[in-house]
This record gives sequence, C-alpha cells and structure tokens, in this order.
Amino acid sequence: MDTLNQLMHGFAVAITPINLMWALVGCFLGTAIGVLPGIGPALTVAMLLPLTAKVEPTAALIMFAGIYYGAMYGGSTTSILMNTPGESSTMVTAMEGNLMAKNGRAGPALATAAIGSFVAGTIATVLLSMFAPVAADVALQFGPGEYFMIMLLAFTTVSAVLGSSLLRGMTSLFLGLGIGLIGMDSLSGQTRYSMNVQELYDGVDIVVVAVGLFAVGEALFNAFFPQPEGTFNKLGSVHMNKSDWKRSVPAWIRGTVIGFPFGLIPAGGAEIPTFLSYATEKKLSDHKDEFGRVGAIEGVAGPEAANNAAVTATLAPLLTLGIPTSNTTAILLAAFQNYNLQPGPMLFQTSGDLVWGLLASLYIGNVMLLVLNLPAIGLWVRMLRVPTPLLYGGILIFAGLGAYGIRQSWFDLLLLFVIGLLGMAMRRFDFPTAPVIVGLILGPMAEKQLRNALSIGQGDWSLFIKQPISATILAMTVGVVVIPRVLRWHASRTTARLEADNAA
Amino acid sequence: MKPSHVSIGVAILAVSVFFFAGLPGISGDEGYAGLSPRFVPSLVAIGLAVCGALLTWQGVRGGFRNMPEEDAELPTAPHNFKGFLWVALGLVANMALIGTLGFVFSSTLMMVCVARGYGSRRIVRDALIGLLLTVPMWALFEFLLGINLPLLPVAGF
Repeated sequence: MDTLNQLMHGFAVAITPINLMWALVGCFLGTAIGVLPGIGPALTVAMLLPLTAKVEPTAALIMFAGIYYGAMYGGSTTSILMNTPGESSTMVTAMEGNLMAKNGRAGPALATAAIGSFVAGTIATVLLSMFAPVAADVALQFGPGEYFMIMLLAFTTVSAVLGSSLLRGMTSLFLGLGIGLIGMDSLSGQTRYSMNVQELYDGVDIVVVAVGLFAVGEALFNAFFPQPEGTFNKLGSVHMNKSDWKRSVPAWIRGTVIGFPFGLIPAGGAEIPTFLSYATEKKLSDHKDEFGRVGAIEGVAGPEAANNAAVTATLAPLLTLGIPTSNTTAILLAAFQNYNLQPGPMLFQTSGDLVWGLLASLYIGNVMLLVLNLPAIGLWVRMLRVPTPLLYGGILIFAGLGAYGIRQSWFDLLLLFVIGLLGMAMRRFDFPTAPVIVGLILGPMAEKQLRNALSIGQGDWSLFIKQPISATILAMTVGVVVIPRVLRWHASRTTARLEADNAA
Repeated sequence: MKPSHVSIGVAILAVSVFFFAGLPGISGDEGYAGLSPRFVPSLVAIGLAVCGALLTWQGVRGGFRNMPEEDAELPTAPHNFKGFLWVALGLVANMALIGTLGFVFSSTLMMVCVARGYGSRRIVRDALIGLLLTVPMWALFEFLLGINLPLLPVAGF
C-alpha cells in the first residue's frame, strides 16, 4: 500500500533525535501553557511563531503539532481541577469532570480524559493518514473556481454555524476580510488602505491580530471586569478502577466516531461534537442518575475523545486543501506560509517528507502526551496556582514579544494595543473572534482565487454553477445556512401548534 | 434601547465608511486579473454597512439578539476601570519605550503595570518575575535565534 510506505517514511523522518526533541518540546510547552487558564492552543501557537524563524520547517511544524495537542490536554486538566474552563470545547468536560472532582474522583476523571484523548487521537490520526492522500488526489482536480467555493463555504460555516448570532458572526467576518485588505494587492501590485503609513504596506500580520484579540483582549477585559478566583478541587491518585474502564472504553469509541467527521468538514470548532457526545453518552448510559449530580465518567470520556478526534480531523482540510477551519489551524497556516510552504495537494507532491513526517509525529505526540501527562500531573496542578496578576503580566510579555519579534517595530505594538481594545469589545458584546482570523487569512487567498477564476473564464460568472464540483460546494454552502433555520422554524411551528391543540 | 449596543452598530458603520472612502484611492483597472481591485473592498464596505445598520437597528429595538445570559449582568457587574487603565498604560508604555529601553526593561515595566492593574502591590516581586521572564527570552532570541533585540538601545548596545 503506497500510503503505508509513505507513512513508514514519515516515521523515519519523525523519529530522528532532533525531531523527537522538538515534538517533546512542543508537547511540554503546549500542555504547560494550555493548563494556564485563559490561554488556548491558538494563542499558544501564535505567541510561539517567532521562535520558528530560524528553525527548520519540519521540526517547527512538528513542534507546533505537539503544542496543538498539548494545549488540548492542558485545557482538560484545568477544566476538571478548576471551576473555570480554559476554553469552550472543554466546557463539556468541565461539567461532569468538575462534579467528579468535587466528589473526590478527580483522578479517574483526569485518567479517562488523558487515555481517551490518546485513543481518540491515535484512531483519528490513522483515519487522517488514510484519508489525506485520497483527498489530496481529489483536490488536484480543483481549479481556482472550486477553491473559491470551498473558501466561501469555510467563511459561511465559521460565521453562520458557530456562535449565537449570524449577524455578529458576519460582522466579525467582514472585519477580518477588511483587515486582510490592508496592504499590497498581489494581483495588481498596488497598496490598498494603507493610508500612506509605511508600516502598513505589507498588511497587518496575523500574529498581531491573533495575539491582540486573544491575549490582549482577554487581559484588558478581565482587568475591567474582574472574575472571581476559580476554586480548586483536590487531586487523589490518577487511577481508574475496572468499572471506570468498562464505562470509558465504549464512550471513547463513540466519541471518536462522533468527533472525527465534524473536524473534517469546514464547520469549524469542536463544540458541536463534544455536546453531541455528551448527549449521546447521557442517553445510552446505565448510570443516568450520576450525570449532573456526582459526575458520570462517560460524560468526560466521550466528549474528551470527541474533542481530540475533531481537533485531529481539522488538520485534514488544512493539509489537503490549505483551508483552515478554526483559529488554531489558521495560525498553523500562517506558520506554513512563514516558510513559503502552501499546504494543499501540491505539498504532498513537493514536500511529501514534511507532510508525512508531520503525520507520523502526530502519533508520536499522542504517545508522548499520554506518558507526559499522567505522571506529571502534579506539575501541571502547580501551574494552575499562578497568581492572576503574574499570569496576565506574563501573557502580555509574551504577546508583546510575539508582536515585536516580527520586524522589531513599535508600530506592531500599537496595532497590538488597538486590536486588543477591539478584542475586549468583541468579548463584551459577544462577537465571535474565529471569523476575524479566518477572514483575515483566507480573504486575500479567496480574492486571488476568485479573480483567477474569472480571468480564466473571461468574466463569466456562471462558471461557478456550470462546473459540477463548484456547483455542489455552492449547494452545500447554501444548505449550511438555510437548513438549520428551516428546521428551527419548522420545530417552533410544530410546538406552537401542539400547544394550541393542548390549550383547546 | 441599549446605548452600548447602538454605539457598536454605529462604530461598524463608521468602519464601513472608512472602506468606502478608500475606494477612489484604488485604481479600478482590471488588467489581467478579471476583476477590479475595487471589487472585494466594495463588497466588504457594503457588508459592513449592512451589518452596521442591522446592529444599530437591533440596538435601538432593545439590544442584540441571542446574547449569552451573563451579558445581562455585565453592565451592573463590578467594574474596575482603574485596573483596566493600568493594563492599558503598561501596553502603551511598552510600545513607547521598547525602542529606547529595549525589550527586557520595557516589558518588565509593563509587567509591573499589568500586575498592578490586577491588584498586585508587590512591585519588587513583579519586577523580578518580569526580569526572570524577559531575560531568558532575550537571550534565546539574541543568541539562539539570531533575532536582534537590543538590550539597551538608548545606551547603544
């Protein structure tokens, strides 16, 4: 099997001592920073981007993959032990995990989270390795028109599916697209919206926007609206008894099966699969009474597995099409671009070593994280107790370093501050931030593809509907927006009719 | 009518005006590109205008829809404006002074300001932690990564 051969070759790349070391560094850094409340994987990767300026691409990307996974592990630890979750996809873990911890069962909760993540991650990586080359082959047939359609789908799902309000999601998207417009237009060579400010000729760097929105925005928001200190739960031994294992294993499998497809489609984010998994586990459980009271272990095992599987699967659109579908994958795309690498089907052909090395190191990363996390749990617990003033001071130091390290310009720090204020406003008024990031990085790419497509088609707009692949994707895009609304409208009409019938 | 929501809507409209205003400065020549370089900017400007108008309308009619529950408590929640100012001061100071004082000292100053914004009065401890974080990072960038971050630019090194 050709895929197996390439994977073996990838392992040969990944198991070199240097790359193993970078994987370890990534996993360690990712977990350590992921544990800290308020910092998610996207921010961690963004802050560490400047570090890679001089590091060889394969090693750097392996490290970033380690950070990505490590941050997910770290976030789960925080959710279980502390009562303020680190990020929304670990919110579900927090629900049952907290309850278990309060009842003295933090150990099994952490164990099932760690092992479940490992199982899900490994299975998902296997699926990814099988699926990616196939998708890449299909993608080779994509022309600019098809790419534009996929990007349009990504824009739509990231702003319309996530979050509570389509309007606010679209506003965020347009803001991101707008920021992406600043700078040089690749096709005509002129600078747009730079207001004759020299520092804006190259546009606004995505690291500045990401770090500004996540780190600075959070820091300003939490200073203005002080949050009560989270309370901690005590940790016993990290062991699962036989009954725990029996209940966890099927939950892990179900979680993986639910999580993986959601990560694949440009639906963005791991919240939906984790909630779905939670609902499934609750429905199928023999211990329903434990949910929401003392904490049921399946309620941690399933969502954790779903989360990890979804996160692995989001690498698929990035690697095979070059389309990021979440904050973190958008930053990873920026990391690739820093090395002048464009992920997508061509990358499989031209830098097969890099891609397969990356995939192989995902397996290794999963093992490393399992080995790292269970024994080292005491260390991570200690990190949770960092005093808040020092935590935010440290975050802003790294944020500033990340922004300043790009080109040693104070202007980037000014942008960081202004975007931080924007991030604070977005947090205050419930505007999602993912569409800004995706709009910023995909916008220029999408514009290029659109203009290329029309240039090849000589100005004929109907080509998007005439060509089968792009027409299908367009239909999916429309469906993604229309169908949930139709379903919801139908459901509310049915309930209204039922109520009227009952009242009569 | 929620004034804060209305002002957000108006702000978005202002951003949309900015994008419209920049259009004449872009040459409309299509060249080989098939589409004018003004096309996407126009789309963005129109999109922002529509969103801004809708947001303002929602703000006037009682506020944004589908806000999370915690939003209802936010206006009355304890505000710490002074804390926010300290953090902002730290960021601005870092930006203004990094060119003259260098990353290490400028960021340490920011650390002290930010920590103060979060209620810490232990200036010496905060400054020491700041140095503990910034010096190794400076060393890492300078020696291992070859990125030039001057230690004390005003003194010339």
